[in-house]
Amino acid sequence: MNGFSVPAISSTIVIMTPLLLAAIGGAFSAISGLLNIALEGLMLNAAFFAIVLTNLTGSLFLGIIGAIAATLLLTALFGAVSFKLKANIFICGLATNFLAIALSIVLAHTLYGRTGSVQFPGMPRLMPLEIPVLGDIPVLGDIFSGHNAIVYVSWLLLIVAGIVINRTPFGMRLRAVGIDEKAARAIGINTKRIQFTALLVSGFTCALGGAVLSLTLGAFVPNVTSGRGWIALVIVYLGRMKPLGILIGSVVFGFVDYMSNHLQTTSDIPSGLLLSLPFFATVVALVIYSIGAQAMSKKGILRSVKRVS
Amino acid sequence: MRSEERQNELRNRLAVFMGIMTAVVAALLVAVVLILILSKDPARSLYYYFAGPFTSKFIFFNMIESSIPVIFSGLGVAVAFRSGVTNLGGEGQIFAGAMVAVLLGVWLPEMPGFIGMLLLLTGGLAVGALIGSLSGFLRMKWKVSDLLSTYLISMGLVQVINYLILGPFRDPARIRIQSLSIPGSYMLSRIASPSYLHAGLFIALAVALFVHVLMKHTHTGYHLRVTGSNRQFARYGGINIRPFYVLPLAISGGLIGLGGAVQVVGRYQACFTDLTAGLGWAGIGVALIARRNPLGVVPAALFYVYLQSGARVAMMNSDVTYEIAAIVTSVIFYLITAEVTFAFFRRRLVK
Repeated sequence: MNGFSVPAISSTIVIMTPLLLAAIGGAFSAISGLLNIALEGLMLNAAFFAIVLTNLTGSLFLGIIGAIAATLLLTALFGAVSFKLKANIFICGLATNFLAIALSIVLAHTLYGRTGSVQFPGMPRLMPLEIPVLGDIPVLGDIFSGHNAIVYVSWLLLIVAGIVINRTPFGMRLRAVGIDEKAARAIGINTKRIQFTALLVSGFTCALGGAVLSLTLGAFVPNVTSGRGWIALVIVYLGRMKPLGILIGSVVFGFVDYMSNHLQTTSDIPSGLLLSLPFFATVVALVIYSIGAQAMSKKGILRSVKRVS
Repeated sequence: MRSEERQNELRNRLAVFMGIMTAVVAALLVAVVLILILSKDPARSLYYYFAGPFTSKFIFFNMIESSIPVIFSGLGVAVAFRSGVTNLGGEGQIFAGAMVAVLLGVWLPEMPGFIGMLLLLTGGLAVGALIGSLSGFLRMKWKVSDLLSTYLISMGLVQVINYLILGPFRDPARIRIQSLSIPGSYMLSRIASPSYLHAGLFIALAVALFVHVLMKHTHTGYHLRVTGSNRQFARYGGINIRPFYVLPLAISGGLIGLGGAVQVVGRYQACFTDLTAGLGWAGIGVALIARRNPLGVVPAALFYVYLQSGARVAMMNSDVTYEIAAIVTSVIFYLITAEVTFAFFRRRLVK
């Protein structure tokens, strides 16, 4: 079994992209103190609109822009209900997930008279890009060149996210709201607006994540996200909402995802069972992380006690 | 003085009720608007959506039948929410309860019908409780988020059970993909044939009553509610709060798993890959409509399945698709916790 090889790393990079994108947006919400469990639905919504609008306009670029717009609208609805009507954000997140599924099916039924998967022959697909100089370097070229544009955009967004969170006034306010909402409000920060913006950032990155899912496949399949939004949410917490942590988390779970695909063709383990691997692996990672966090905090407590005495 | 307090309490309840009704009416309005937009023959679609479930005894009793699993999952979620924990694992727990019932029915030597049925139901209850308490244990021991672990474990289990149905326990004699069947003698009796309505309805109602008594009139229930509303307060009040992560999730998972087993011995006799079909998620909506009140779960479940049943009848008799029900229920999800509506009525009614 050669799980660890150049093609494996290259595939992992592609597979992890939706996770990474959703986790970047999830981090913005999490830093502002919101548990955004709608990542899954937002991605699904974008996956659907990316296919429909790419087919309608004949252009991948317009399709992706349209998917972003549609997903931002859904995010705005989600945010408006939870902030303006003061509804529980967690229940609204669930509602958004359900609404995304329902919308995709009802619209597919209305537009094309069918439910199930949506695809169009001859529709443009996301194509791999060969990076000029990088592509010629032997091993590195094989790993880092030849992916689609959104993969590179996701890396760029990760860097931008790091800068925005750590180096801009908006990022400072974002963190202040997450650490203590009341205190932030007391010093004149419009906390609701900051949180609403953080949700919209989630919507934006999830839109790219959903678009990359369906556009590389060339079709919208119901449940195409298959829990990725939830796993991204776990990545946000395991990565402690930090860009590097999120990157590592996405690589790890991207690799788990790759292995569960890879083993389906190369091992005797039934493929049905392998589909459960990403979920159980995520639970195990959560448990390991929590044990570690608890041990750390115990040490921290000991240290502070010593300092006092 | 005393009567004034009581009157205010009643008014407060009325305000809550009006808040729920606002969400319900808004959802129904959305249904009307959707049908007006999507249907080429809106009058016909509207008629079948709203009156459809009452057009024949067969459809009506089938609607009642479909409320049975929703009552179980609604009760499970209500107990969890009341006790301050979250159970998003309903889908997996229903499915596991159903699958274990099938496995017991297939593996064990055939026994007298009533005993076999009880055993299968117990199996479903036990496995649901086990899955729930695993998340509770992880929360108690290592502070692993119950919200995430219940969901992730459930989704993993769904894949495993799908595999069991498609692979080792598939019934090769059937064209439709389903598991092997349990002996017919274990099945609950039908109470309104030709519809599918079965005696599981009485089990569901009895369990709802049991959960009500448990939560409202026992020590355990009191502790569950106190820890649910304020864990720190409960601790200062002398309650050992650590088990109160495991216990509520065990009860919650157990109730939902039992619902899965009832689906097998009441309706399907076997397990198939679409058995859950959102029943676990429906439980969350129902528990919220019922404001986490066990007895309220029953009418809330009936309302929930009315929305679905209407959409199904409308799909069969006109040109709208069943999924408009999903849009309508997501509107309920959006509005059912909206503080603004509840506050509005409280301001108007409570002095």
